[in-house]
Amino acid sequence: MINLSLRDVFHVALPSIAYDLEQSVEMLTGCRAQLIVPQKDGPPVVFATTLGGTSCNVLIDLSKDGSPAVQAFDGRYLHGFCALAGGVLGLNDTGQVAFHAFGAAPCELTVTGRDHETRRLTPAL
Amino acid sequence: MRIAVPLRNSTDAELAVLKVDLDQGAASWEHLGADQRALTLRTSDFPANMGKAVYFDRAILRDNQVILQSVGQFGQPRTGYRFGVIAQIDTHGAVKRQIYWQDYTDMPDEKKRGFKGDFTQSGDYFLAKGCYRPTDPWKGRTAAIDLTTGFAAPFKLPKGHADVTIIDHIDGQWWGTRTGPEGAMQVIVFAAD
Repeated sequence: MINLSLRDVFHVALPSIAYDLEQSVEMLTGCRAQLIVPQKDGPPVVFATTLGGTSCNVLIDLSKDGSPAVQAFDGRYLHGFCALAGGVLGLNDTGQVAFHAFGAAPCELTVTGRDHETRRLTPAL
Repeated sequence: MRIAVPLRNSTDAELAVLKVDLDQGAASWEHLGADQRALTLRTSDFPANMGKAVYFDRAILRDNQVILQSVGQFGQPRTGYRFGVIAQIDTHGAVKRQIYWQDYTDMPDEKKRGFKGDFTQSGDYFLAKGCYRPTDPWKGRTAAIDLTTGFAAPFKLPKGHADVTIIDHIDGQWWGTRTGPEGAMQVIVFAAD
């Protein structure tokens, strides 16, 4: 048994997310945190997806207490994903790779090497 | 940065490494095997459901060593998963060290068994959840499998936080999430005592 003690709680206000995304609150109540994305300074960013699929992926900046800033991005690249260098690296099912950092436009990476049938990414070390 | 990715083609299970250079905006596949090929995994070292190809669900690079997780079969078999395996492989794709090895085939009943999960960002643990509640050894809780010792331990959460799902381990802290009052999501940080 690993005994855990509480250190910190971040509340993510979903109505503010819905406003930012211009999507329904009902859809976002199904939001599930998938990854914690550490930042060099301050609280991390959380990467979340909706339960129903990958159409609504969000990065949530927890540094704004109670009303976090949210950035949505295209779910096409999230066939697999992992936290990397302060952002999320997404991979789609045709082998395209893109990097999503909070506050920046998605950066599609040029991929070289054999075109594998890839499935998902795992944590980068 | 290098990321281990299990691959699958029509005949083999393979593993390749995606090398990412964000400054250059580039990524390239590193071929661990001979002849510019991905590393072919020695599937005979891993248990599989009878007549099925071994399916590698997750992989991680840890101290330049590859650790794989397999449940023995792709998808959700009608009879449950027969195996739950986490193992370190060598440069030939063979099992070098069994870390966590569950073989359910000798169980006297026909109950469904198995677990799934993911490696933590710290590279120290695999977070496992039982797939079938009646046979879940951790009784619905998430368990952390220590990749050094192979020891699996469920979490004991503080009072009032039993519904939190632990999703990661980063810099010595455990991160969890739950749906709080009025449907709002909470992200919670814990320390191990």
